[in-house]
This record gives sequence, structure tokens and C-alpha cells, in this order.
Amino acid sequence: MSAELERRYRVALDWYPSVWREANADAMLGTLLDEAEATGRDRPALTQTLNLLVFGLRERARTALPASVRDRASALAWGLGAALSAAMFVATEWAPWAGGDRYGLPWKSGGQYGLPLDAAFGPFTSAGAVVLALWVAAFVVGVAGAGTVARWMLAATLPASVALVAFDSQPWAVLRPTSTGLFLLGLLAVYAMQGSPTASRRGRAWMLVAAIGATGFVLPLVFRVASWNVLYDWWIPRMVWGEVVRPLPYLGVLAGVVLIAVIARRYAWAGAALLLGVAPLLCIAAIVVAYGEALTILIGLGVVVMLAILVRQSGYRLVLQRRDGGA
Amino acid sequence: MTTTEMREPTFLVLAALADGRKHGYALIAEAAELSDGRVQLKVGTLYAALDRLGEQQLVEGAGDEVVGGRLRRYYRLTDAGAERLEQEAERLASNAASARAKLRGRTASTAATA
Repeated sequence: MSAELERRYRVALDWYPSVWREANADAMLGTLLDEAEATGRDRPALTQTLNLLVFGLRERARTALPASVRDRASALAWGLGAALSAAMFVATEWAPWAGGDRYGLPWKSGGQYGLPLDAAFGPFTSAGAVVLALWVAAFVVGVAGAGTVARWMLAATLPASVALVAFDSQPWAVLRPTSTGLFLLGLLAVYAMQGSPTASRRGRAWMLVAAIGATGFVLPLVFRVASWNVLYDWWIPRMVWGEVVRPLPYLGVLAGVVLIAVIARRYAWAGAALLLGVAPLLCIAAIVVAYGEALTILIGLGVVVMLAILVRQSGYRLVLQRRDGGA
Repeated sequence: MTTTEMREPTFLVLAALADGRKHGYALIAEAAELSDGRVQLKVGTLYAALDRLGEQQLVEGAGDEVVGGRLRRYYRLTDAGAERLEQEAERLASNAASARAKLRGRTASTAATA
């Protein structure tokens, strides 16, 4: 068995945190080499390398954050993402109050912006309807207990969102929601997938409660959009976005949730709220730094990659424990 | 503790350990054999499952051996693991029996209407 194969497996195992590697890397390497020998392989299979990457990163997340925090953050992300998707779907994609002819839709009426008549996506405003519908459907499937299917559906929203943004400038491209909105939903999808609240009845109850709470947060937005006596045009999704994540109200809600959780000594919930809070904060930061579409995505992705590298390099572990003596 | 439905790779790992301790690759090979080659466990998946099962005290380490310069870590089923495997096997067998009974009913009704 070549030393090169062993070296390449060791490089792949570097995705795992150092604590894990110290305990398991030699045993895993032995298994990988046994498998390579049995199958006559002299270089790592791509699927095996990807598998080590995925489980290595998952182990890093587990090392950095206890499962109690991750599952709660995941449940909150499921709830918030589903409520946000449903609100955006109704308010900006479907907009039933706009009437059968999409009252005022400039691309339907050959309107003021000179957009082509077929720019709308079937009965919906844009192709973002697919991503939003998939999000809501994934939530329903997850609450029903089919966690694996739900996670795959959520995973499918990621390439769909990237495709919408990437092909934006093509002549045949359909309209889409703002890249910032898609970016936030993408982050929430990643958050939701890294925990497994769908596996237990209690976790699924958290998802439902989070969705109901988040609906209360975004419902006024739907009514507000419905009441606007304006021509329905391309900038409404942008206004919706501005309504949902204005920095100050958002930070206020986040700080309030964390404060209540700390006072109630629900430290895992406090950690989960803080963890979840990073996602919209990244979006807000990106908007503040550069109010541009492609740039927003690039900056946001850059921050996420930097955070991922930091996690990879650090391997810090956050341990939540109750103080002794009931103090 | 509430018992959640066991995923197939987890079930196969526990089943592979039912007749004695095994090391990593032996578990992968056994899981493939038990599933008629349908389930080919990846190494990352296997060790994540073993780690989780260890936390749940369903499996435990059963010694390390160095063979040909490679470390082989052995695992074995705990009593709790054997009990959990038995429960899951019963559940699957019960589901299979129910499905077969339904199919027999369908065959009988098809024959009656023919």
C-alpha cells in the first residue's frame, strides 16, 4: 500500500478536529487502508473523501457546540426559515390581492421598466417561488417526522438559490428575489440541517413553536404589503426584505430572547438564539458594507468561509454546565 | 428515554456486532453482506455511528490491535445494545408480517373477483 495513499487519507482526516483525530484518526486510517486494500484502490475515492469532509466538519461543529445548542438553533432556524419563506411566498410571489391580471405588474402590462412580458414565473412573480415553496414543504415534511427527506429538500434549495443568482444576467433568466433574501434563507437552511430536532417529538414541537412565533413576527409584514396602494413592481421584494431585517428591531428581538433565556437559566436556548442571530447579522453587515447584489453575496460568503476556517483551526469547545449548589 | 426509529446503517452496524467483536473494515464488509451489497458504509459514516452508539452505551470499545502496521480498533455490543437491536428486529419483523398479511388479503380478493 503506497505511502502516498496514506498521506492523502491523512490530509482528508484533517477535516476532523484535533481532539477527534487524537482519539480516532489512526483507527480510521487503518479502516480506510483496509478498505483500499480489499477493493484494490491506490487513490482515495471521491465519495470517501467527500464523506470525510462532511463528517469532519460536522464533528467540528459538534466539538465547538454541544448538541443541545445545535438542536435548538436548528429548530429555531427551521421555524424562522419556514415562516419567512411562507410570508415571502404570499406577499411577493403569489400576492393574491394583486388580482388575476397581476394588477400593475409592469412585466405583465409591458410596463414602465420595459421588462419582457414573460419575465414572471407562471402565476408567480419570480422563480424564487420554487425555493420558497420547497422551504415550506421541507418544514412540513420535517415536522411530520421524515427528517432525512426534509433535510434533502432543504439542501436542494441551496443549488437552486445559487443558480437563480448565477444565471441572473442571462437573457433567458427569470426574475428572482433579492440575493440577500436568498442568502439569509441559505444560511438558515445550513443552520437547520446541522441539528436533528426532527428526530424527536420534543424537537418537532420546538420547530412548530418557533414557526408560530416567527409567523407572528412576519405576519404584519404580509398585511402591510397587501395594504400598499402601489403598483406591484420589482422593488417590493426589496422593501419586504428591508421590513424583515432592519438592524435595530432585529437586534432588539435577539437581545430580548437571549436576555429572557439567561434570566430563566435556559442557557442552551440563549446559546441557540445567539448562534442563530449570526445569520441575519451577516446579511445586515453585508448590506451595510456594500449595498450591492453580487457584492452582498460575495462578502457574506467570505465571512462564512472565514468563520469556517476559524472553526477548523480552533477546535474550541463550549461546555454548558449548571453551577453546583443551585446558585 | 424515548426510543426513536433506528436508521438502516445503525441497525446494520448493531446487527454486524451481534455475533462478536469486530473492527472497522469488518463492520463495513458485514453491513454490505447483511444488506446484499445495498449498503456500502463510508468510513466517516461508520465512525460517526460508532461514536453516537458509544454515547448511547449501545456499543463499546473491545481493544486495539496493530496488524501490518495498521491500527485496528475493535467494537462489541453491550447488553443494552443487544436489547435495542432485539427491539428493532422485532419491530421490523412485525411490520413485515403486517405487510405480508395485507398482501395475502389482496391476493385473496383479486382471486375472488377474477
